[in-house]
This record gives sequence, structure tokens and C-alpha cells, in this order.
Amino acid sequence: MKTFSAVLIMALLLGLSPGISAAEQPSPTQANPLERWDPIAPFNRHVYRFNAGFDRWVLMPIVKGYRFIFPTPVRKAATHFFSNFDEITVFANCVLQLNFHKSVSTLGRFVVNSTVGIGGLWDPASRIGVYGYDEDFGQTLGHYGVGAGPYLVIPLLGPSSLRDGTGLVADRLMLWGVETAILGDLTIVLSAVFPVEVVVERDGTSFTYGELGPFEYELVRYLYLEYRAALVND
Amino acid sequence: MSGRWAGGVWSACLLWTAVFALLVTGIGWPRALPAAEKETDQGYSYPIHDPYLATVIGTPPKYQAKVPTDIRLKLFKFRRFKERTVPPIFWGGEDFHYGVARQKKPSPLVFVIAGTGGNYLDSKVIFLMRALYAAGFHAVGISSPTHPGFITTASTSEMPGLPSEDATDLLAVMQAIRTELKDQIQVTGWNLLGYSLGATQAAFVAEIDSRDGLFDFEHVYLINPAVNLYTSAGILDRLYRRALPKGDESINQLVSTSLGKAIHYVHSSGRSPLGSEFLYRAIAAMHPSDVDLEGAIATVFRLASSNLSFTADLMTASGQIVEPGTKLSIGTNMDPYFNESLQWSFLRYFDELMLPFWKKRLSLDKENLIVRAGLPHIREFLSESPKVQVVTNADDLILGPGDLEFLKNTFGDRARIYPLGGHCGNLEFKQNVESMQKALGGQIQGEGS
Repeated sequence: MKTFSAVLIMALLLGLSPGISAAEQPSPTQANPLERWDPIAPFNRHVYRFNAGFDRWVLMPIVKGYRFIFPTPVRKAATHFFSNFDEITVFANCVLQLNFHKSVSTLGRFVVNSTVGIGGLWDPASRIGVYGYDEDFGQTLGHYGVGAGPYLVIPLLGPSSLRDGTGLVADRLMLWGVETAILGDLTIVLSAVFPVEVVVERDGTSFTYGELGPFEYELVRYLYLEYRAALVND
Repeated sequence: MSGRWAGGVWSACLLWTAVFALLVTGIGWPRALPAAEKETDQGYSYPIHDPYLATVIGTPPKYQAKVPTDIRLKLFKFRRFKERTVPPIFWGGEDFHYGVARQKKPSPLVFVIAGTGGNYLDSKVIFLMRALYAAGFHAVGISSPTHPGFITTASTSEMPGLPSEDATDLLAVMQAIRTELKDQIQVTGWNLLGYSLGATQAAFVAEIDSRDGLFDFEHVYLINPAVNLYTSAGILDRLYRRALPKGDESINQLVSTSLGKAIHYVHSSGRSPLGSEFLYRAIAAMHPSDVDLEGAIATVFRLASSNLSFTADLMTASGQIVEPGTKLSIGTNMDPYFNESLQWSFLRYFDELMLPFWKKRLSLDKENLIVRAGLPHIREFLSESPKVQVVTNADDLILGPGDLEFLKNTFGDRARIYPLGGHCGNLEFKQNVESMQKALGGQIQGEGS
């Protein structure tokens, strides 16, 4: 939990504490209810385009190769494998949100899927009705009243917000900490397969940049922030 | 579940599938379930009896025709207007894009024209291409002339909506495609298919072709055409005002409630919100009283009319939304234009953009324009040409008073009116697909093939 407190401090330094964020976020004066606060929009818009180009010319060709080489069951197992690791951060965040039910359920999933599911290659937990939750540190911050902050499009990773981007870093650091504690020097192996995780994630996502027309940036921003707000409230 | 490392694009995608999915496919499947077992008096077993529900969710997987997923699809592009520059805020650049499902052996080809605002990779286009491929055709998917990609790269006027003009552009595009595909596939005959607005345009394409003989189409198949564009635009406008009385604020409410419900469903079932099966399960898990089908339909059409109005206004420098001469680049703040464009319905587009534009160029007044923007304008051709067939639904919500009778009277036994299906809801239904394959002279697949 040492990295965790470090991240919390970082979040505070970034101005994400509930107290300031409320004052910082301007009241929505926009005429359009679908418009969202976006103080660094020019930067975000360029990054969005950059990401679209990267997705089209680098990531998707690799994903297509991956789909061509590996049959569906193998790809499914890969997806399960990586999402099983995610249960560690999901669990931590359920605990941080003091949600007993979700914590127990997530822990149960992790144990069942890591053992019966052979290292998370498949998902027997869902078969017995123990379903997964989507929790992360961004949502935990939201749970305790931290606003989303300004919208942020992160290079290569895509739509986010200051709060969620910070949460992302926190979750990663924590996962890395846990992995180091368990695996020691072997953690380096897991870091090396990170690009594989990116490809596996992209494989499971049906989204094509540019299909929404001239207002895609605005629509994605709106839908992303609404989606995250709904997740926080769940 | 999505990975923790990227709250970003994956969440955006997830929300795509979740929201648009729910918007497009809506909420309220359970209401239709009891009807599923009933057969209508005409022996037509499409399971959804509510036209709005049918329009929103289409055909449940169980009732869909089985179509192959591998159709040897390849994407192509070409430049139609060498001198035209397209602002970078549009995604496709200066090239016109289209997709082709390629048979290995010499086969007839079908052009598929997308419906209002749809592009060549729209799910309905892809489904039709799969069904046609299965029946032994090459299939070419073409974006709707109202899609921003078509307006910017292939529309001569850049002000779509007048079917005769759109048809001329479509024919030019098809000719270019024919030339480009010469080395790729062997074509033994030409056919044409369109749905929704694409069907209306296909009728005009066929009419021009009957005089020019450019393709000499063997079969022309119209699915749920708009009979009079102005009437249909008015119907959608009224739907919007009724279903979303507070305009974009109502859209906002609709999206957040749908999202909340979708997430609740994901959490309570552990289903990853990807793939079409999710939608049907999600819909099935929702409470029927939550249904806002009309709102979902109105939202989807409003997004299409916004894109259309903005694109046409900008490209023709009409100055209704964007000040002429304004340079829009990737970093430009588009919010004001987005906000303004959302206020543009199809009716407003017709009145405030199309009408002044064509008044100036063709001296058309409103009455002329309305008359020319409908199938009755080419009635003679439609009533006499044996190659043109039409299918629609008695409960198609874009048809106005008298439209159905017009189709029956004009096409006679070449018109097939299904009792159910709303607007294009039964396009994927097994029986519809088989009729389509047969009407175009293709092989019909047996069940499960």
C-alpha cells in the first residue's frame, strides 16, 4: 500500500481533493446539455486524432494479424487471463469503497478463476454466478465525491479525465506493487507482455475511429463522461 | 470487463456498444416476447408487433437469416473530384471509400445503397452484403449520399436530398467502381438494392439507367423506401418534438438513464457488453416501463440530420451554421457548431438549406422541390418497369397517408407489403432475406447454411 499512498498524495497535489475540485469545476453554463467542460480542448483534439491514426496504422494491423493467427478460444483465454489480473485492482477498489458485497465477490472470483480456471485462462466463476465488477481508482475517487475534473485524451490510451487518468496511474502502480510482492524479479516478465495485453484488449473492442462523422470528438467526450458518471453511481 | 490500464478508448467503445446499442436497439424487448409465438393472419411470423420496437431492435438473432461472416470483404477508395479539398474535421479525406464482397468465380453484382446518414460499413449494409454474398452475388456497399463522407467526396452539389441529383452522383460513383473492379472480380450482371432513403435513391438511379443504359440493371430491389421525402421528414420531426420535448436536454436524460441501466445489467450478469447478443440480453433484462423507443429513434435520426446539415452547409458555404470562409482544422473548437447542428431537423434542412440552394440553381420553388423529392415524380417508370420491386411494411413509421396505397397502385404485384416490421426492422428476418435473394435472382440458402 506504499505506492498507493504515494498516488493518493499525487492526486491531492494534482488538485483532485473533493474540496478544491468542487470550486474548480465551473458550473455548466453551456447552451447544449451534451457539451462538457474541456479546458484543454485543442490539445485533446489533436491527441484524439493522433490516437485515431495510431489505432488505424499500428494497432489494428497487429490486432488483425492476431485474429488471423489465433482461433477464438485462444483469444478468449487471453482476454480472461488479463482480466483476471485486473481483479486485483478491482478488489482493492471495492475494499476502498467499503463495499463488502463487491469485495467478497471479486475475491471469490479471483480465487476460483486462478485455481479452477488455471491461472485465469477461463472464467468458471461466472458459470457459478459470481460475476465481475468494473471498479477502478478513478471510480473510488468519484465514490468519495471527487469530480471528474477536466476531460483528458491520453496519448495512445484515449478518452479519460484528470480524475480517471490519475486513477489509472494509481491502479497500475498498485498492480505492479502486488505483482512485485508475489513474483519478485519475475515481474519484469509481466511488464514485457504489456503490449500483448494492449492487443488483447483491442481485439475485444468493436470501435472504429471516424465513423461518427464531424462531431465524433464531442460525442465521444459526452458519452465517455456520462458513462464514467454512471459507473461511479453504480 | 475492461482492463484497468486504459479507462480510455475501451470505455468509450464499451459505451458505444452500450449506449448506441441501446439507443439504436433500444430498451423494451420483453414487451415483444409474448407476440413471438403468434402468427399473423398472413402467415408472417416476424416476432415484433410494435413498429417502434421493431425499428429500434430489428430482428432478434433467433429469427435472423443465417449469413456467412467471411464474405471476402475488401475496402477500396478513389478520388472523384481531383481539385476538391475536404476540411480535416471530416475523417475520410478527399477519397471516396466503399467495400466489396468478392466471389471467386464470375458472378452477378449488387450495389447496396445505405439508408439515411449511413456509411458503407453500416451494420445493415454489411448484413445485406453477407446475405447477397451467400446467394452468390458480389456485393458493393455504398454510403448514403447524405453521409458526410459521400457529401464531401462524391456529391457534385454537396447539397444532397434531391433524388435526381443524388442518383446522378450515385451513377458516377458506380461507374468509377466498375472501372476499378475490372481487375478484381468478374461481373456477369448488374443489380441494385437500397433501403430507407437509399431505396428512394435507388429508384431514381434505376430511372436514369433505364434511359442511359449505363448498367442496364437486371433487378432493382427497394426496401422500405421513403415515398415522399418531405412527408417523411415531417413525420420524424414530429416524432422528435413528441418524444424529446426538451430537445437535446431530453437526449441527455435518455442517454444517462440508458447508460445507468446498461451498466446495472452488466454488473448483475457479468456479461461483457460486446457483441450483439449482449444487446438482446440487456434489453431482455430491462423493465418494459423504461421503454423510450420513440426517443431512441428520434435521437438517432437527429444525429443524422445534424451531420447532414452541418456538412452540406459547410461544403456549400451557405452560412447557416458555419460562417463562410471559416477554416476548420483538427484543433478547432467545434462545440458551437455541434450545438447549432443539433437544432437542425430534416425538415429544417429541407427548408433552410436545400430550398435556397436549389432555388438559386434550378429556380425551384418549394412546391417543385417537394414534388421532385418523391417517388411519385417517377411514377410512370416505376409502374412500367418490371425489373423494379419494392418491399415495405404496413406499419413503417416513415410512410405518410396515402404512401402505402401509392406503392401498391404503382408497383402492383411487384410490391410486397409485410404486415409488420416498422421501418427496416424486419430487414434481417429470415423470410425477408429469402424473398430478397429470390427477387434478385440469387440462390436461396437452406436453413442453417
